[in-house]
Amino acid sequence: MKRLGAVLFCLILLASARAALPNGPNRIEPVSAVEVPTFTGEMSSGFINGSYGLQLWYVWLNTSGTHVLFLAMYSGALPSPINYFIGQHYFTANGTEVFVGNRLLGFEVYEDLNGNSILDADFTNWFDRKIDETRYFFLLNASVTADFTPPSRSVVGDYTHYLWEIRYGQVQGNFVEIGNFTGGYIGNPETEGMLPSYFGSLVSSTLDSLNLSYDYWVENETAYLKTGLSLGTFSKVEIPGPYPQPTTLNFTDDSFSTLYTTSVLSMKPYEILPENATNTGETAVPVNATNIQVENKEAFRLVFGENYTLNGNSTQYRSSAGVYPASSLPGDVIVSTNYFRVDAEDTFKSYFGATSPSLAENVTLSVGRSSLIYRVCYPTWSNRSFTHDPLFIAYLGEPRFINPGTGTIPIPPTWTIAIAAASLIVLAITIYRHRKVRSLRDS
Amino acid sequence: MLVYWLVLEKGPVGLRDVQRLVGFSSPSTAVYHLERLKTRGLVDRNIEGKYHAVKSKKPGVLRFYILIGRRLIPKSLIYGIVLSIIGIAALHLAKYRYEIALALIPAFLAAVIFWYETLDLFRYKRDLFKRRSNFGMDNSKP
Repeated sequence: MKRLGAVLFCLILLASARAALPNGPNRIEPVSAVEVPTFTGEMSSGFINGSYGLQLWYVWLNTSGTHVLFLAMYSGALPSPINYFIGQHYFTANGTEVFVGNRLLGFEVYEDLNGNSILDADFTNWFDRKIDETRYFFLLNASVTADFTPPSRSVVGDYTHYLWEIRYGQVQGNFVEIGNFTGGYIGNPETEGMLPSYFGSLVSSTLDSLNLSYDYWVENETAYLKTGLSLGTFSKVEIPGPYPQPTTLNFTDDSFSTLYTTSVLSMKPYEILPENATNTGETAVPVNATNIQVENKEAFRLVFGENYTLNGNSTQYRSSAGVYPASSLPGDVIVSTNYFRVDAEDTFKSYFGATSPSLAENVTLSVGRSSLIYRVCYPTWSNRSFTHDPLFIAYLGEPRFINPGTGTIPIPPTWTIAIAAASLIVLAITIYRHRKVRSLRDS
Repeated sequence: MLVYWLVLEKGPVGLRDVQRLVGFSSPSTAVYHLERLKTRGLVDRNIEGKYHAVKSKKPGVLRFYILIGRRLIPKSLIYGIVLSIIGIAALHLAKYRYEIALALIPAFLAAVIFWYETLDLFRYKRDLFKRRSNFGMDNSKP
């Protein structure tokens, strides 16, 4: 009995130490995919089977009463398509359950003609586009290599940070010239209506690297999500020309922009409030930050205007951002990114079905129904590699654990079960021993 | 029990030492107790005629004590300290890993039991030595 007690002491100590250790930045191989992911424990990641023979790599975090769900498209058989979405699920200060997620739609090259730093575009009038700064939309096609670093835990100061990363290499894609209305229409997969097409000629290109890194942590009643974007340079940008040589596309003095949509799910009314918005009279509104208020209480904040660096140099350049109406997007963009939407929505429905059935009914990643469309713009670019890490801030209420729902009890990780079991056995031995001490002492 | 305790804590002791420390009225009482302990294999006598404890054997409640230097300390004190460290670590972990903190709650309760037991065993020792003073009082009687 004494030896068993000693062994259990050691077991508790070892298990506690092991559980507190980070998982380490292990590169993983997508050996198997599941139909329904596991949303249990503190964090999990893996591959989910999608449609068209594609898969989704998911990362799920569960900490301090908040959940984070990250999805990125993947193909094991072919070069991996690039599409991703990250959402945060939590309770606000006034007790409202909300989900806020952001999705990258694509990259654009623009010419800042009016000098307001941001990309100005308006596709309202098909035949007479007064504002036209977009030169090219980069259709992210597929990446030759895709390395996934599953989430790991790291304690910085008093807070636990959750870190994960995707590194794409040799991203194949096409620069699509955005021109005038082509006269053609394409089917809108979101509404089954028709959309005017603006996509002009295609120029194939290769982006040498695209790294997405994430750092999530909760400080008291505030959750922070740092989203690192590191983009390489575009090469082989060649217009297949007549003999003798194709011409190379020149991006000198051009600016770069990343296009995102935000989806907000809430059972209570919410409002999107651009902060320090400058009303320029254009359709795009330059902003420093955008707040999402739920029932007049600040629930989420997208922080813009932070600095970025070029070519790995320490020189800082100021990024800018703008919020946009749906009319700032050529319809072709909605069509070209739709295949990700369907699989991602299925996964979200599966997730919400197990946690918040009321929110599950409203899940949509539709561009047309998105709560916010915004662009983060990099005015100084000229096809140089850059690194930028925008911040999302979620304002939480009293820490509470999201209802696991549908009667399923989340299974804690193996180490936690082992610690609990060892801990219970130690208690049982202690009680048995204590009774023996008392009986011997009294005799 | 008290005689054995003294032999354990004081090391090899002679008859007169035991008589004086416990407060027996005569050396024969001390011999009686020491020989009983020797018959039970708890003490042994060396060539100088002094009695010393056979350390591998501890009768009754004494098995829950450990001899550190010249003092018998309740083993529960050590267990209590170890489990308390785990408990404090659990409280710290609760900020980051609430489920591990929950899993360690039984270990924390075990620590509380051990601390209670430590106090109890120290009280038991104190009571035992109070009895020694009573022997002394008896000894002072005419």
